[in-house]
Amino acid sequence: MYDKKLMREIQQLGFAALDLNLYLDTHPDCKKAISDYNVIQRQYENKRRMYELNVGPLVNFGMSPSKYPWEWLDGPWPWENE
Amino acid sequence: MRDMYNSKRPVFLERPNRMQPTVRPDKDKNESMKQPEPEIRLATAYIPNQPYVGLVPLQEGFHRGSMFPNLYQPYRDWRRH
Repeated sequence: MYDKKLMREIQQLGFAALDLNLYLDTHPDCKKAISDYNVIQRQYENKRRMYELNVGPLVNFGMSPSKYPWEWLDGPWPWENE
Repeated sequence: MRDMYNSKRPVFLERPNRMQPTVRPDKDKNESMKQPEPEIRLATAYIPNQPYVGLVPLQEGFHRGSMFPNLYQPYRDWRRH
């Protein structure tokens, strides 16, 4: 079953990891930023794993195996939301 | 390449040995020609170093579009709109 709250948490963690990625590209020696990045990256990975386990694949290929029938087609799609 | 990010001064990608000011406030008679940082050359774009001061909460940063409190400079406070 689609989990809106978990999806939003994944989006927030992904954004935070990306923003730290951009900072670290120009400040590669900042230990505090690296340690924050590592904390966020671990949470991001855990939440993504939780989502894929309980809901379904987050991306169309390459990240998780599929049950039968092909799981990627399971909704809701953006136009089916709410 | 990495070292250029460690400098506290502005980064000069070209000709780092030519950092002489083009404006010399003490010698300029015109007061309006005075520059607060005379080592900065005119007509050059600068990106000052961004110190790491920690992150805003995840939800807040996602809404703002930046995780960094010192990069957040909205024209208006989004919470009022």
